[in-house]
Amino acid sequence: MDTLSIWISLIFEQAIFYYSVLIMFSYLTLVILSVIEIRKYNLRCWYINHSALLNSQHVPGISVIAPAFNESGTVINGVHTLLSLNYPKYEVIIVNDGSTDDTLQKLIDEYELAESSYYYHEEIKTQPVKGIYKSKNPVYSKLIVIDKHNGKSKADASNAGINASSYPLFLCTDMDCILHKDTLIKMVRPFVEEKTRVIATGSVIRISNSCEVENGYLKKVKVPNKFLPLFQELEYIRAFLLGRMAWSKINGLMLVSGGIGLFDKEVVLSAGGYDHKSFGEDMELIGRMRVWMEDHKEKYLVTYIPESLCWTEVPSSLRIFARQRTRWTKGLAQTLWIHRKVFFNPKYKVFGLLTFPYWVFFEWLAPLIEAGGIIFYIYLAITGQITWIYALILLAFVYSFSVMITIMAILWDEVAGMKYEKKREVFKLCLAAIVEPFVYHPLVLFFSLRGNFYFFSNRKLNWGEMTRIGFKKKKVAID
Amino acid sequence: MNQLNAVVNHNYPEIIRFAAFVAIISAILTFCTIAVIFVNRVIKKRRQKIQKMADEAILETLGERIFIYDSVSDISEKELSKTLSILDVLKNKNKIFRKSMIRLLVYFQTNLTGSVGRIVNATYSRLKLRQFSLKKLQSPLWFLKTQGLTEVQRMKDVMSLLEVYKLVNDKNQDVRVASYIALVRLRARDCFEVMSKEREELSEWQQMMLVEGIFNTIGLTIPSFKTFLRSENRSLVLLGIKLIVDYRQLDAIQELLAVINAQDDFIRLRIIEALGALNAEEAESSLRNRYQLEPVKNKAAILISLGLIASGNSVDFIRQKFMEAEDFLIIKSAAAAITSHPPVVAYEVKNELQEEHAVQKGLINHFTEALN
Repeated sequence: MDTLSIWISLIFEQAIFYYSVLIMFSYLTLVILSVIEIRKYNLRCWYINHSALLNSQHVPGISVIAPAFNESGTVINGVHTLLSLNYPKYEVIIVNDGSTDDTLQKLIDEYELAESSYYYHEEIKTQPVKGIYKSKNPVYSKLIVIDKHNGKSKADASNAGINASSYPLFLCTDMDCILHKDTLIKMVRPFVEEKTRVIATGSVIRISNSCEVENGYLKKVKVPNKFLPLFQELEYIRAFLLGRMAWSKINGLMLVSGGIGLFDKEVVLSAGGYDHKSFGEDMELIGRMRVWMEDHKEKYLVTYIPESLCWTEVPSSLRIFARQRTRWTKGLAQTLWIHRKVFFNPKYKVFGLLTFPYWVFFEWLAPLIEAGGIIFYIYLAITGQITWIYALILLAFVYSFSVMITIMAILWDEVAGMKYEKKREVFKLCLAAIVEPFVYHPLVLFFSLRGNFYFFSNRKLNWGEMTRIGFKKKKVAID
Repeated sequence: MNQLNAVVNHNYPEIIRFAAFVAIISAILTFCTIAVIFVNRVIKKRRQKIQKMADEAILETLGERIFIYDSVSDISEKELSKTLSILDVLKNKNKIFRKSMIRLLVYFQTNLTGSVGRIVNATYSRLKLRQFSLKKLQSPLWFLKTQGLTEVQRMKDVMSLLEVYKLVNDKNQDVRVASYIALVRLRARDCFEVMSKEREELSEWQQMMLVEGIFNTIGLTIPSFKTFLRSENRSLVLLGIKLIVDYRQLDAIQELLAVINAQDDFIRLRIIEALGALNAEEAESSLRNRYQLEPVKNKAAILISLGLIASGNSVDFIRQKFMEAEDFLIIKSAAAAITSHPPVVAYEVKNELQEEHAVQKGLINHFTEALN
């Protein structure tokens, strides 16, 4: 028993400390890499003339795919926004994923749709398609509406959209996402700018909960007022501007969010499309595309751009937040398990040797280790084995570092382009960063543990429904 | 306090001392970062304010004293001197005013033509603003060079050609491409010759920028781009194909056919597409003969091109591929090609289809329906 206790003490007093130092070092590296990448992007923006693309006959065509499940309240504005994007060659594919409300009827009425003999080739297996609609009005000739049976996942609907798409690139988004009008022109840039084949690109997603929106267009960007969205905003800034930009710099990106991602259709089809059984289908797809490219010895890039091009509503109630986070963690664990052959496999280069181990050790394992540490901490406190001054210094060490990283992410956000008009909104974000480790992080930790529990116990998890309250009260499937 | 002294005086374990050190540094950096965020905001706001003031003052002067005239000769020398001295004062006020003036004049020069454009150009020259653009061309920073090149070409500053030529061998490819565009815009005689010497691969983006630059330059003598097809730089071959199609240079068809044996699948694909876009009837038999040698994507492109040419000579060939192929892309391309012909062809093919040809039937319906 004594030996066990010595070992546990050794693990928690030494190994975990070095583990924390390693995490911190990795964060610092991400901070540096991301600022290099953001600066490079900003400098190129000076030089790039977008009108050359807008007027060109040679741009690659893009299919914009947006699944819709019970989106009666937002579908008209959503489609209107998508049809107004600035790009010379694109189509909009709305996939009505077996809605039980009047989503389809609203589309038919508003856009003068009629059932067409559009040929649907099922390259990726999906739930059956009931019909495909096109507009009788030439103004909406870009619009295609697919009506299909519900597939109980966004992945199935997205796959149906991919099957129907006719362009070499496709952009996946959600019906409730508000896209910037220049989204396509900005996101296609890496595909035409890079000399190596780009297989996917993502951009920064922001939170629209407190933003002013009119007819599907964003009028004013504001920091969320509510507790959960406010902290999620911080989390998004950190994840997108620090994490993903840095991974993009070394071509190690493993996740392009479902809210906005532009993909090379050929590679997606070769890799088999979205996995409709996965709870983290966006991450799983990138993993599979990377594996496919590496297995076929083809050079490729997965890139990210630091511009906020998509605004989405996030859960503001604890119940929905809990379900979302549990699902994300389960999805992460699933993806890591599916692609376990990549783990420290030199064949997969940066992906196998750096990105994948990073996600295993610092994203998936971190909450488990943290929880273990807290339990051990409580045990030491009860048994009177804590030297309180050491404990306080260690707490200050972790706390001050995490606040510093978040504040730096806010600075990078300012460098990438000031989103908030007023200083007091940024101040609010800074204040939130200071309290985040005590009030928000425990929640994230708890739901991560729950997600792992669901994964290991193979417990069933439903995608569920969520009440979005941002612009109109309605029921929709969560992303 | 005693505890802190203990930390400082090295009485604590190394790990704890390290943790304390990191915590202090992190706290300091946090406060510094917050300060930078807000100071940066204040500076930016101030800069925006000055910028707005500069824009208003310059626009007012230009609007009231320059744009009211139809040509430079209408302005009396006295009036012109007075206007220029006002603008000169604004220009010398500070860096923001000067930058603003260059930006606005470049903007007007780009968007206005005729006599007003000439007035803007004359104002730019007499205010000696070109020296600032030329200074940028000499900067060691690539983005300043490209900015300078953009200003020079938009202001149609032919006097700066010599400086532009110096940049065609710059080590940064973006600068080189910007200098090619500047040469095109300034209508330098050898602009295409200089461009054809590019050794590094041009990205799709750079090719598009060059195409846009060439296409939007009025009065440019357009050469036959078939010379690009023999380049060792594959991206120049691709650029040449784009330009041949955009300018519908039918005299390049024979040259396209001569290089269709290229090793590169992608170049062959683009050539096949170009032949279709140029409605090259003389290329039909060559395309049909190549069909078996090509990968699936190129086979599909051959069918589409034959459909675009639609001479009627390849109907049997397309019909055969349509009925026999197993690959969906080939069947789809053949269906598109059939429906590009007069409607009677699609009607006849449809009548031939049996029950087992459900895919073919569906695709013919797809392509013949007006909604699709």
